[in-house]
Amino acid sequence: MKTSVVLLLYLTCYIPTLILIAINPYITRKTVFFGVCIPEDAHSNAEIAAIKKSYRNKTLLFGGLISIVSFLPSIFIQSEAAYSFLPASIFLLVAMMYIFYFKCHNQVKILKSRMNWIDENSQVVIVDTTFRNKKFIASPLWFISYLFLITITIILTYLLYDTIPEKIPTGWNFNGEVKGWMQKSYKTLLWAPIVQSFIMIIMVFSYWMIGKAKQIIDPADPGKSSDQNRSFRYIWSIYIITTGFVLIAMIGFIQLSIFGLIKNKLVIIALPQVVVLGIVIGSIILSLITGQGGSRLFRNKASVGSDYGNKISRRDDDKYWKFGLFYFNSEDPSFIVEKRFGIGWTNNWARPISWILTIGLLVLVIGFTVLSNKLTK
Amino acid sequence: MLLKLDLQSEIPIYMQLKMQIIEGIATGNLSAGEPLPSVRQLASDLGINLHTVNKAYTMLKQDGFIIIHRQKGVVVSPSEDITVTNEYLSQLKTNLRPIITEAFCRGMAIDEFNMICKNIFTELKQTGGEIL
Repeated sequence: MKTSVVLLLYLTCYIPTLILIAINPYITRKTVFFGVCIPEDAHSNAEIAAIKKSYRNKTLLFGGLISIVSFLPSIFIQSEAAYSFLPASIFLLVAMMYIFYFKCHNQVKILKSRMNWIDENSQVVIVDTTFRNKKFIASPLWFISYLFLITITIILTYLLYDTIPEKIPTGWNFNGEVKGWMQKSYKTLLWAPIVQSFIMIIMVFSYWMIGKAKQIIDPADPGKSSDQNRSFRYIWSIYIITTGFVLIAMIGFIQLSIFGLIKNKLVIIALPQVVVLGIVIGSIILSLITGQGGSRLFRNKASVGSDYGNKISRRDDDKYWKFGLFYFNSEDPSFIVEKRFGIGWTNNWARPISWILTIGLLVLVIGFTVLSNKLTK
Repeated sequence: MLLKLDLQSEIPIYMQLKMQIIEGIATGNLSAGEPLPSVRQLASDLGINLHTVNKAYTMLKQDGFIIIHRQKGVVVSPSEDITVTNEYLSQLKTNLRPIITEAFCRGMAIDEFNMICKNIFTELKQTGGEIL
C-alpha cells in the first residue's frame, strides 16, 4: 500500500511540476526568450536552439534526480515524518528552475548584444480599441455556482449535525487510517465553508487580474495577435472558474466524509490526489495549446488584415524587467502585465497598488491559516 | 481600430494619438457612436502616462470628434456633429499659412500644391475599411 501511495504522490506532484518547468521556454512568446526580447526569426539561430535544448535537458535530468532522492526516505523509512521531504523538494525543483533560468537569461543577454539584435528604434506599441468590446473573458456570473456549493455545504452541515458522531476525524494518513480525532462542534465544522470562501476569494481575484491585464499586441500581425490574446484570456478564465468549482466541491465532499456519509477509504484519500492531478495536467495541456498570451493559438490561420509585414518586432522593454522577471516601470499605469517566462501575469512593481494587493493577499493567507488552526484545535 | 504609436518618434504621443483617431474616423475605421477605451484603460494598454491620453482626448472632445459621457464613457461623435465650423476654418487658415508659405517660397505652382491635396483626399476616401 505504502509504495503505491508514494508512487501516486510522485505522479501527482513531481512529474507534472517537472513537465511545467521543462516546457517553459516552449510556451513563452517567440519574441521573448528567457526574459530577453529577441527577434522572432532568431529562433533559427543555432545558439538559441542550443540554449533551449540544454535548459530542457538539464531541468529534466536534475529535476529527475531531485525527485528520486526526495522519494527515497518515504520508501525506506516507514514513518509519516519521511513525507515531509515531499513538499520541501517541490521548492527545490522551483529553485533549480530559477538557477537554470538565470544562466540562460545571461547567455541570451550576451548573445543579444553580440548579434546586435538590440533595436533602439523598435518602440512601436499597438492597441486594439475594440479589445474589450468583444468577448474576451467568461461571464463572472459563473461564480454564483460557488455560492451555491458553499450554501449547500452549510445547509447540509446544519441539517445533518445531529447524525454526525461526537468525535470526528481531523485527517487521514496515506494508509487511510484516521490521523487524529476532535470533538464535534459547529465551530470545527465551520472549517469547510471557510476554506471554500477562501478559494472563492482567490479565484475571483485571479479572474479580475485576467480582465485587468494590459493587452499586448504583436506589431508583426496585430489582427491575429489581438484575437489570440482575447481567446487566451477566455480559455484561462474558464480554467480558473472550473478549478475553483472543483476545489470547492472537493472541500464539500471532505465535509461529507466527516459525517460518515462516504465510507470508502480509498475514495477519501484518492479524491484530492485525482483532483490535484487533473488541475495540474489541465494547466499543462492548456499551456501547450494556448502558449503565453495566446501565441500558440491559430498558428495555421492566415493573418487577419495586416500590412505591417514582418519587420517590426514588439517594443523592446528589457530595461524595465529586472532579471527578465520583475517589471518596474513607473511610466506605465498598468499594474498587471504578462509574464515573460511561462504562462500568466505578474505585477508592475513600480505601482503601489501591486504592493498593496500582494500584502493584502499575504494577510489573507496568514489570517486564514491562523483561523483554520483555531477551528480545528 | 488598431492604434499604432511610435514611442521614439519626434511627434509627441498625444499628437499621434489624436491624429490616428481622426484618421480612423475619416477612413471609417471608427464609426459614429463606437465606444473608445477610457483614458485609464487606454493609458494602461499603451503603457503611457494618463495625462498624455487625457490631453489627446480633451483636444478631440474640444474639436467635436468624440463625446465623453460620465456613464457611457468615450464614444465617437455622430457624423453630423463633425462639420466645418467657422472656428475650424480660421484655425485651418492659420495652420495652412506656414505650410503654403514654404511651398510658395520654394517656387511651387498652385496646381502642383492642389494636386497633393487632392491625392491625400482621394487616398483617405479609398482607404476606408482598410487598416492604416
